[in-house]
Amino acid sequence: MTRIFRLFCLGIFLSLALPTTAQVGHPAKGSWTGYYGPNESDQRRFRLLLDWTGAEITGVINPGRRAISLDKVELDYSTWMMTLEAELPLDGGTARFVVTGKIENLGSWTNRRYSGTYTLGGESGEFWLSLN
Amino acid sequence: MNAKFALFLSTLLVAFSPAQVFAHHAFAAEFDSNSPIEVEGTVIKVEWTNPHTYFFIEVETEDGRFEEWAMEMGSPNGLLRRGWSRNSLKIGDVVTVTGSRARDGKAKASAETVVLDSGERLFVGTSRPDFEENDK
Repeated sequence: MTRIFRLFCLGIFLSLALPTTAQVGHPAKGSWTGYYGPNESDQRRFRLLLDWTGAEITGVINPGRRAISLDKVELDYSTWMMTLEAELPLDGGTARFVVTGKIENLGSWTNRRYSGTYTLGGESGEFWLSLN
Repeated sequence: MNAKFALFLSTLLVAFSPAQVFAHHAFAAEFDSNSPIEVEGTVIKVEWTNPHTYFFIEVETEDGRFEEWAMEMGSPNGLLRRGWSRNSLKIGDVVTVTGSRARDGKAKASAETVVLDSGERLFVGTSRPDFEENDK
């Protein structure tokens, strides 16, 4: 009986412990959606998909038909300020898109935000994203 | 002693049963098969949860706004039996979804078919009882 009880306790322990392996693993990883724009009346949709390879953060802007790969990602782990860079199509050419902001509510699964400022060529403004 | 021990084990089993069983519901209680929908959007999240798997798509409306639709599918096991894997639907995939809209009018539906941008058609094992493709 004692052996059965021990096995049962082990089963309970594993059932509680195994779900911890389902954690995302990196606060930046995931699917983010929000807006960016130079003012409140000119807001454009901003979708971001970030991944953590174990060594670096990679990702794409607007995953889907018009996906654009990020070519630079920097994260300051002491402040959680993250900078993303990519070339975005603009007026028949391309322009440098540089996004700098802070990841907040790191422990929240439902209210994690990444917000700050951006420049797109000669344009500048603010952006915000929330984790889906 | 054995009866007490059996009672103890039974109590523990009930206490640790997944709470998701309470999330199960009849199709007709939440969705209206007389309100068919067909929407195209980009996948922004996939949740492999019991008793239903969900995926969320972003749909651009005619006036340029964006709506987030929640699409309910069968259980993870049901999808696996239909040939799905965790890579069948990825974030960023553009999909066309047909299904039955939620009765409360929210942007939520019971998905019946999902067609990928490539033309590949995925059967989702809807809980709609009269959906003939569930038998395939």
